[in-house]
Amino acid sequence: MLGRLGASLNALSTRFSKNLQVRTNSTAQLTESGMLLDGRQLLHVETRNMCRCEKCLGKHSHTRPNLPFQGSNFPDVRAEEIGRVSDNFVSVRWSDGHEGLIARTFRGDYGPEPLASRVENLTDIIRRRNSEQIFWTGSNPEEQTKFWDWNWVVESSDNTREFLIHYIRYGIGFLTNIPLHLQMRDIVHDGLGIVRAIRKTVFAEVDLVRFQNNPTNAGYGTGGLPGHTDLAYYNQTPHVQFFHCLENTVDGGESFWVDAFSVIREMQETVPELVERLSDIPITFRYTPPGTGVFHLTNHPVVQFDKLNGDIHQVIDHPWSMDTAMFARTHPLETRIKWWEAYLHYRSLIEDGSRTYTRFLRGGEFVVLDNWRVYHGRKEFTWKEGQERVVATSYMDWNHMASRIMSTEVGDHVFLEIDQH
Amino acid sequence: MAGYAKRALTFCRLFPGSQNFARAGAPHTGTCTQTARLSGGSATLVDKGVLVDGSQLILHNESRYLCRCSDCFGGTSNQPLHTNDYTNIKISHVEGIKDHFLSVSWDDGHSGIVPISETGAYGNGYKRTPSSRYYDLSLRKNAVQTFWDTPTNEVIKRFEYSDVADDSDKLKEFLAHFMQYGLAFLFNTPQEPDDLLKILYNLKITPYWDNMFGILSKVSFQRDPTNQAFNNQRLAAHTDMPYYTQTPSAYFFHCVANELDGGESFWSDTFSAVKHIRDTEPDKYDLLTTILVPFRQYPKEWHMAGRYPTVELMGDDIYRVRDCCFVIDTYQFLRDYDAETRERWWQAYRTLRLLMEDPARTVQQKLGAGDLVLIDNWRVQHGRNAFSVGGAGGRRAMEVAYIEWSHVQNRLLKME
Repeated sequence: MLGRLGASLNALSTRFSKNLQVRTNSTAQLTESGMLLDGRQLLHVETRNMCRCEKCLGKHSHTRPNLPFQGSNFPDVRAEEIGRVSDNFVSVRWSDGHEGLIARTFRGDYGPEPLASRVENLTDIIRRRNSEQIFWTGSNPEEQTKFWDWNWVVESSDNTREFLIHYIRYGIGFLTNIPLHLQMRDIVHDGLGIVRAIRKTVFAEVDLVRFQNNPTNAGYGTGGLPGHTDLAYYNQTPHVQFFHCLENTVDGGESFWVDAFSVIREMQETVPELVERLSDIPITFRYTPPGTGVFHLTNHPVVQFDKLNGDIHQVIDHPWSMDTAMFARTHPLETRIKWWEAYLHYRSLIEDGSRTYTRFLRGGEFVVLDNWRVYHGRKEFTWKEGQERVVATSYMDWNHMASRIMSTEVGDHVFLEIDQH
Repeated sequence: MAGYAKRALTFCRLFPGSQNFARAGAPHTGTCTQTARLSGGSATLVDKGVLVDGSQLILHNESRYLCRCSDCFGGTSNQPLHTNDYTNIKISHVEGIKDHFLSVSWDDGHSGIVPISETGAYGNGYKRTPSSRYYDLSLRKNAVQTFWDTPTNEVIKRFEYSDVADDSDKLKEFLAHFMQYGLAFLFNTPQEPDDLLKILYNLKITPYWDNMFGILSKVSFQRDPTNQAFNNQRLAAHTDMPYYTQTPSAYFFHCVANELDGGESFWSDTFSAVKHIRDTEPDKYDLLTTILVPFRQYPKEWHMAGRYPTVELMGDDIYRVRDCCFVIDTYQFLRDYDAETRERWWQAYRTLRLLMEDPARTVQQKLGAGDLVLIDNWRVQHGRNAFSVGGAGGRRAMEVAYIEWSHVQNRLLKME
């Protein structure tokens, strides 16, 4: 009887081992160049870089304190043995003597739900992939002009995320019914929950755009402002822009917006050589209002593409600060002729009224704008005593907004589940 | 009266016909080669525009955008007052040249003045314009930068804080040095916590850049660090915050206290290393400039992600480097590229890292209280040696404030 029991146990053990062996072969196996893990080829150095043990990845920081690729340290490290395999991790021993574990899944690499889901589903959105964006013209589609109720948006984090994702897709998002006593920080920090958000510029943290005599900027006059992007003369032009209409009782002064990506896409299909010129030839932008102690200048091409995938990435276009004198001095004639041909064709499309969404903003309305994509402008207005047109504007880094979409809630810790391996 | 308006009025007084020329019905010149000579210059109307002094051709539409008369150019903003479509405009008549301007009429009926010198184009009253060296440094042109692969005396030159705080020219010299070498040292600065913001205010280098670490990042030892900078281990050379879409370009690194054993800071010039690779192993250089490396930082309450080439160019110039091994998102990298590409990239990256980790290429110093370093985060990598904690006491406290390049540029170029 013991003999038969022993034989059964041996059979069980063998089967288990066989099963484990089969599972290991299909899940993870060593190769000459590294490891084949769930059908993906990893290089030796990558496996070492991916170790998620607490010696290799800070528990609270999720960054690596110890660098396996630190110059002469750990040269030519190799994965030598695969150990236990669990749902999210694989144990590995390397030639440097270290034993740790690498992740098989999003969840293993970045943390449990919902963070893993956000990473898996939203990475392309926060990267502004064109495939996730919806290019629009003035009338088509109408979704870009949807006004979101403030109270609904701030009611929950999921609602806020939904609004911000909408903003990313269309490059613009409108909020309404914002209580009139709320200021920019109240709206962005406390309401939308985007901390450390507002970026100070030469226009301070919040710029109140209203009529000035002897304006130091075209925005402070009463004239119409053709479509443009802001702060083109900054080396790092701000990305996210907020417009908060505080008061608007003047005649005229309607705001309008144009999706430049839609224009560029059309030009790529019809006159690609012109788009190439706009992206190859940088021009100088300058802002030096006299007596203010401000002196900014930089070079940018009008259009920039993502180097990896060719997506339209950014437009920078601010006619008032375009330094034509410098352009005429620094570029040969032939180049300038070609550039002007491309730019003027581009502007003719930007200025096409059928591409434009126009609206007379009212007090309490708020616009979130992608300053790297959507142009804004305004029609001229007349100003009389007692009337006001006041729009508060601010800027923010893209990453702070993206972080609001991707991160867990304030106070929630995300620790990797390595203890469950 | 602002500079431009004054000059425009003066010009019209000198050329009384210029304002009324359109009413006289000037003929469209088409292929006319009218030439105006006055006051030592010449301007010839040609088919494409106007040829100034036989060498500078300004296109018709450019000339119209350049008009500096008070109807076209804001004297208080230094910006055009309108941005019409001048695609088909043509100069109809060239009146003359005086000093920095050309008097011109166009076929839209407007008469005005076109600048033919820098002073005419940008002059703000009669104040001197910044030197061309300062311009080129502020635009990060390699031709005026000095790449260093060994820490020469010039690289580690120290500036006295009171000198640069009290004298604008010395401050500009300090900033120009920073832009040339990628780092610059100040000593004898105030040493109390939070003094860095006062220093920036005194130097008039503001506004600073609020980021995920706050306006002022305080770097000192933490038991459960939310960032590797807050432990006591060695930090290999790196640039900061590569995962930001707009990675900060410059930062002030201020030593408040440095009383523990170890913890020496070091810096190395990536541009020098990149140039070396470009000259000796161009295939690896190509990989470093074309392969997009994903970065991700996701501590508590934050999630930052982005992907960028290690080396970015502006034309042929090396412009920016992002390199922070701590936050390379290898898992994402696997999904972005095939194994063969990644293998070649890792070899190229290793070549770069070997250079960055070479002690011979490194400036190393144990900072003392009151020492401050301004660092070009797009060029110079920084790191520190491990340091001891616990024991008899003492502390290591550093404070960091980040600044946009445009704000540093502004301080260098602006006229007082």
